[in-house]
Amino acid sequence: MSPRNSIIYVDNLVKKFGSVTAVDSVSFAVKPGEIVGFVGPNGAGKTTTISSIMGFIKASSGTIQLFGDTVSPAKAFTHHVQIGYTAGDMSLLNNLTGRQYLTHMAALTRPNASRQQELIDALDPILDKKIKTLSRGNKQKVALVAALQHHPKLLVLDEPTSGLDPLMQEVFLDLIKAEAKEGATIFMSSHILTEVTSICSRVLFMKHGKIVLDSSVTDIEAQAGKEIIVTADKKTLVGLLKTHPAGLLNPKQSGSTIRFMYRGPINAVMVWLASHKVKDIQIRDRDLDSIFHDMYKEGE
Amino acid sequence: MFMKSILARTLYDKRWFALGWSFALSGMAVLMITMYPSLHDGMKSIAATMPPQLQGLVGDISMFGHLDTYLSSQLYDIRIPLFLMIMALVLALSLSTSSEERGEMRTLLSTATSRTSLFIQTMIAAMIIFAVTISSTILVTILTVPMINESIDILLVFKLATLSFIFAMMMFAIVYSIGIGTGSRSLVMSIGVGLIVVSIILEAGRTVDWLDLAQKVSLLHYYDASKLLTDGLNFKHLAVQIGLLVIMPLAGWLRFRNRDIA
Repeated sequence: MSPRNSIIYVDNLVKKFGSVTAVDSVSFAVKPGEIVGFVGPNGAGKTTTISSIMGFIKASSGTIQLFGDTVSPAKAFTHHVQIGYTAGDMSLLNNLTGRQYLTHMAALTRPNASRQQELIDALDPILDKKIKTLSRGNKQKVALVAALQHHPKLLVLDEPTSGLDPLMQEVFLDLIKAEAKEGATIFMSSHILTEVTSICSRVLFMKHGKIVLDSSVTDIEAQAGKEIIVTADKKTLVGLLKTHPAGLLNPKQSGSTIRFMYRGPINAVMVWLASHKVKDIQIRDRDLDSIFHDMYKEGE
Repeated sequence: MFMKSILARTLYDKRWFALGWSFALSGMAVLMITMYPSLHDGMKSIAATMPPQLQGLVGDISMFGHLDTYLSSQLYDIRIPLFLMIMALVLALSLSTSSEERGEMRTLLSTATSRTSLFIQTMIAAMIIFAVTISSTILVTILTVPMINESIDILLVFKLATLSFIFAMMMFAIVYSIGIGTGSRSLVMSIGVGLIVVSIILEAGRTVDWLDLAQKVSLLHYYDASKLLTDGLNFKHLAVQIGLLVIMPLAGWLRFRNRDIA
């Protein structure tokens, strides 16, 4: 994809901290209106990538463009007028009340905070107490209102729902969906995989500083395959494993049960299993959670 | 109103800080002025017996003869600049590395505020805080002097205030620029505390001949309140202070524009 028709364009981004390479040759682009989930284990380089996109840190090499303009720490602010940013561990200005903070952030981001009241009604944050006295969840609500209040074209969210209770997470996801419907582009990192799969159309999976998966949610689901659990006596199980069809992955035997993943035509499996004396068969679709779970575990 | 800009919000945030330091410096001024009548008599006899080497610790004893010279040498030449150095270090730390460590700088830079704007507004906020603190001290000085049946040259007081302001801003500019340019609290602390300690030691040893060359390292060397009445303004020293006041922020800003924010 060319940088011109991308909201976010990252090309060969490398970020080193001394001898440690936190982000290693990362490239991706986010189109207008896309909702992209950015997932990966702790220390994968997600926050470093987001910090580079926001211009908080300078790339060691590579290019980042937002709205077609190159990002550098000195001129990153020119893009921020169109961006709503929040992070789970974001530090707010502790000596202000929630209301003062929202006014301050709106004044610094310039456009009118037209959605402020609507967001306050939806998230119900505590606004009249000093931020330093608020719980993490309430601080996060204030931060979310500040990020969304000016109708940004791009939302950059780094673990946005950490600290929110499940009910508030749902309210927040509804707000994000509403933003997306109105044309906002969303780039969101998260550890909560159900959250990513419920709202994102595309997923970037990052591990050890590299993007190891960049795919649409539907493609991932299509390639996910099936999980098959077969119960039989031990002798039959040994026979099964000797004759299994192509596409059988990660067989794990436990007592009289064997569990494996399968990618391939389901008829071949049915024929294979029918030729043995099995007691029970369970076949189910693998969900994204289990796919990501495997990816988290791989190479640990 | 206070939430419309970083400058206004910083002033709002630091209002108790400014008030506290204003009270501290004003209180010290009141104390020094009200002590003057009794010190004036006692110091005459001490001056006759004190070795000149010890005078570095308390200032020139002969300066106790008049209120003008007493205030220039005892209040504005030693105590006020010392307090202002400490105040500048605390303020600079709070507005640079502490703000960054707390993550507040990152939050502000996530808005449409440029690093240059953040830098300039913070410098202006510091200027206003020092102006308020020093003005209140000056005002208290002018109001307290008549209470001990003395008078003071108002022009001298304003000159002392201007010198104090430039000195405070120079110290702030040095430590703030290091803080904002590097983000390193330990570097700011070691340089800031080092400057204060070295300045105090060298000031105390200013009558020691072999420390003459080293005096140039002391910031207090360039602050000439006690010599204002006798020698007038030392433009060379003033130029050094203004030079540092310009060069250090420029270097800090250039580094801050492109460095990583924690």
